[in-house]
Amino acid sequence: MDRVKITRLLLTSLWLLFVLTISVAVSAGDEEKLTGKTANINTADVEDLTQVPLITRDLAERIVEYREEVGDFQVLEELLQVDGFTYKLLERLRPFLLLEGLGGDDCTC
Amino acid sequence: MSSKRKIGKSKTSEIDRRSFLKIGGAAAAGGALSAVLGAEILFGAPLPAKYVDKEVDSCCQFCQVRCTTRVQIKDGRVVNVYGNPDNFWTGGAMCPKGKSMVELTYSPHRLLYPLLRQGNQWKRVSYRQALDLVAERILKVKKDFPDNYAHRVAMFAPLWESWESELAARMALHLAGFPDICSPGDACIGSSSTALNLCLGSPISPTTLDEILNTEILVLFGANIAEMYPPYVRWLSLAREKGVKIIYLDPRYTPTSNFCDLQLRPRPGTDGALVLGIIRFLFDKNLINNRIARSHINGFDELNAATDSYTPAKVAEITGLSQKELISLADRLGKSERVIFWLGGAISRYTNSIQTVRAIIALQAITDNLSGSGKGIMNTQGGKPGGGENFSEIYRSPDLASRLSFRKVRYNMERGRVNVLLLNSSYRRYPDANRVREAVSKVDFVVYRGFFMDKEAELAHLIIPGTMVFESEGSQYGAQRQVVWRNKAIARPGETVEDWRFYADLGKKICDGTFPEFNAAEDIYDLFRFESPSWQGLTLERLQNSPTGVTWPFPSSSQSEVKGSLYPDNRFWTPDGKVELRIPALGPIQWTEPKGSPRSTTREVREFPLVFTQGKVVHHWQQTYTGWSSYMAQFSEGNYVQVHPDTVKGLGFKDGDEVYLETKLGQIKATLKITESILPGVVWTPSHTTPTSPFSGNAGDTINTIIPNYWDKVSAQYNGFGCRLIKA
Repeated sequence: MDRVKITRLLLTSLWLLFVLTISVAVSAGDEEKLTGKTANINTADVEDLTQVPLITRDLAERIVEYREEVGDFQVLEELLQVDGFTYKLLERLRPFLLLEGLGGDDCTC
Repeated sequence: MSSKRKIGKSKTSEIDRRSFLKIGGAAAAGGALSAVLGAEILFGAPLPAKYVDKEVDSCCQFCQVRCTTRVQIKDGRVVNVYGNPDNFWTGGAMCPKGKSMVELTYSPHRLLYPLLRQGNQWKRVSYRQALDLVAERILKVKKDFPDNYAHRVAMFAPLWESWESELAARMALHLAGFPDICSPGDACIGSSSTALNLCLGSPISPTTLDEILNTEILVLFGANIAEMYPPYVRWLSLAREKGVKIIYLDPRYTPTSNFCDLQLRPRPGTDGALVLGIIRFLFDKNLINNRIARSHINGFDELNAATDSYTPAKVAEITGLSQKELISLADRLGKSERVIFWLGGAISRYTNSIQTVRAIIALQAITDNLSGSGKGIMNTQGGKPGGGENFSEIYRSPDLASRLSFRKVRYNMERGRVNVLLLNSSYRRYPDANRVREAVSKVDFVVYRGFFMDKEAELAHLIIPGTMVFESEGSQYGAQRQVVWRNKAIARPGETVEDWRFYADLGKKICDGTFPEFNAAEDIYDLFRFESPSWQGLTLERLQNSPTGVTWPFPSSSQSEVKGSLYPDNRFWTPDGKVELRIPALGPIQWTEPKGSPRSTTREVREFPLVFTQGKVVHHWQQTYTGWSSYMAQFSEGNYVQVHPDTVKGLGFKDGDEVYLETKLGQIKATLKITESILPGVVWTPSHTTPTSPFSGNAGDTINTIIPNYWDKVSAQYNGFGCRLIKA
């Protein structure tokens, strides 16, 4: 391959790398900084939960419905059992979610 | 002690204590032996030597009395089992359930080979084929769902036939990455053990039975000892002979009523209000041990505030007791130096139970009755030793997900998210049992580890039958924190297999080479003990040589076992050593009506005006295999309901009528029994009936099909909601 072609290849690679970097930076910037209230997912009602960023009323109702149906959440990851609560959402909301509840693991039978 | 003296007048029938124990033992032991040898035998006693080739030390696998036994064998068959007379706790007594195992071991209805469902037929397969099928299905789950398989395999755990079986099952599932083992506690005394753990730092009973000889007042709180744990009756008699006063709190008159000095009959589900009323009285009369209360309790001031409204008048209105009865009880308890509370299972069967037990703990704490000799609390099924945390941490997958409790597993089953269920126990132990059945029917592959063609078998794709008690060895624990060893008495029949062996075999196939090698139950026990400092003194040699079992904890620093109080010096196992009454997840300590109570104001519950209660009888153990014993059937009456004459006055019912017992979920047919042993407005029905039993006395509809799906934060409610009776 002659020198011109090598140079062109190098420049193209650098350009692509630059574009990719900019794209990632833009994407990261697209995820706005979240603000809102925290909530104990084992005691919060629907209204409390909707104060947490990104939790819609529908999702809040499903969280409360799940909790009343099956008992307290033991770890935040249990929110993934609720329809519509994704892993990505969980990672973003961790700073806003408090966990205090009862497990009932204590069987002496 | 006179064993033949009638003790008081029975509220149920004239029956002396020896007769009560004999009648149950006669059926199983006598009948079984007559069938084998055609000879008369001494009921409840060893057979003469000429009828026996050898004797093996064993134990019963039903309740936590954990009676140690001697199994008598002739020509390779069990011919008798009797209680070990050297057992410190039982004195050699046994109840009829344990004795029924002689019949059940040789039952013609027993399943002996693995069966694979093929449409509506069953095809016999070998154990190896069955094992491979289970492993294949579990490994397929991991392959099909590489990123979220954790909750797609679950187990309904039984009351395990040995500790090693429980350990092996946990290891197999946890090392393979599956956390969801649904413990029996959800349907048992989970509320009580959770309250004890939160407040005192350990879920197990704070003291042992022998301490009732050192107390002043023993409160049997819904603890129907004489009927449910009859080998313990001798302790009640011994205690009374030493001057201990026994106060029995139970809405029903039961055989235990014969063994008390005073019985009070609060309305079902009002226990917590009663206790809070006692606490209020003690505060008002300054009968609190202030020094202990202020220095050893977190939440003392909040307790005072929370009980402010529980005046005698209010508590009398809630419980149905008179103010005089309440004040007298509170005064006696407040002025006693030493009080022990013995909690029955019924205390844990309401949606307000966890608050009730929290209140009982608070009461004992403020009167300095939690620590030391002659003081404390006992649970009837509360003896499971702790100290296994190290072992659990080691033998698990590093990224094991958090366990989901039963309700969450059911939620997943209903949505088709569970692919394999290890059905090691009855689904009928849960409320709204038909809903549970429907959920299980959505699981792709159900493996039933049972003994008979129960309702569970109908849901199974594969049945791998288990061994019965005489056919395996292992350790087991009891309500007095004792660990006993059971020796194998006879060969296991057909291709039945012990739970520990099945889960060890399965573990080797599904755990990517991480499952340890075990060749015997002793190997599992030794491995566990090696990793558990508080079990160091519980050597196999000690267990195998003890007719009673050996008490936990027994660290290497101890010279001998220590019975009695877990907390001898008012230091508890909480982070700061104090009694912790502040439990944010529960809010303030309080009493509320049980869910669905007819005393609620909603229209729905007014349509069901009677209070539903249920319970066990001495001849049966939950929904398990005593239902397949013809001997137990002689003493059983299928579905029946007990009501007071005033409940049905003017309604045209008479004793013996066929009725429907109806709740908002449905109805079952039952025989009406009119008796003054129950309170007006309350219905009681036995909980054990087995729909597929071939014996009419044991057969009947499962009552959990009409028990609604009410739970507190921890466990299910089986009592206290509304029902009604309709003439059939």
